[in-house]
Amino acid sequence: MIIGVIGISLFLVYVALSLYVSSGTLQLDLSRPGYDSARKEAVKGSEVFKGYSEDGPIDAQSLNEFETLYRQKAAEALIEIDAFSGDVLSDETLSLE
Amino acid sequence: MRLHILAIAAVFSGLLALVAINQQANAAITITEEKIAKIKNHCTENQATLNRLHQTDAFLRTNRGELYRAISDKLMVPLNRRLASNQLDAGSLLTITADYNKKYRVFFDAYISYDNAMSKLLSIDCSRQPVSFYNGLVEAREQRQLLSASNQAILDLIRSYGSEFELFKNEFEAEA
Repeated sequence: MIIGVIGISLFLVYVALSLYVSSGTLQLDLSRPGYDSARKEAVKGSEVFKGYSEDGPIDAQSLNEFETLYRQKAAEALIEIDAFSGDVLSDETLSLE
Repeated sequence: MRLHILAIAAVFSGLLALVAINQQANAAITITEEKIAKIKNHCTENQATLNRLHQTDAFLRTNRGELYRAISDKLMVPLNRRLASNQLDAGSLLTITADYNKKYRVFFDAYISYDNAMSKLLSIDCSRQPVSFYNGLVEAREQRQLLSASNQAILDLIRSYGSEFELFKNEFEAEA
């Protein structure tokens, strides 16, 4: 009985870890060891963005409201235009030239 | 006779393919002695740099992912639904949103491939295996370029949606 329960638990842990790896959660998990600085940075900017309501009429006011929200978020997205640029891994940057 | 010619052509093509594959494989591992020396000399500092980059990228990916999802889930989709519930035509906005979500999936997968390439690279001891390290670096670089391209595609769609919304708004205000 005990062996059976341990076996089932091990199987469930295996399934959970497989899902953790295969779903891509592993790569986004900042609670992993060695990610302290990234974790601290992530906490700094944590604020809830309510977004735009999907209910209500469409008029000049509601379109202006959307425009303001969209411009704000688009500016945040477009500010780091070179995110993930290849230069940081170049031979030159790593002094391998 | 024809069969003989075909057979010779097939063998010749096979040999050419083998030579091409072999050349590619050699190209992947051909590194000059000078470069090997540089890899070994800068091993410690490069490992530290790559470790820092790996951490920064993890934060950047989380940050970007949240922002990109918020733009879709909390702005694009609600506006599209609101327009639909008001019987307004938002076909082009819908198309951009669908493309955006597809590109987000590409970005999501590209980061996983890149992170795997970086993890593999960081697991290689550059002082003992400089050639493997360099090959890992080349692979990580390629994956990063794909990731960067998918990121740029998302940014382009954010701009497109903004422009399309402006057009819609101007038309709506002109009709009102």
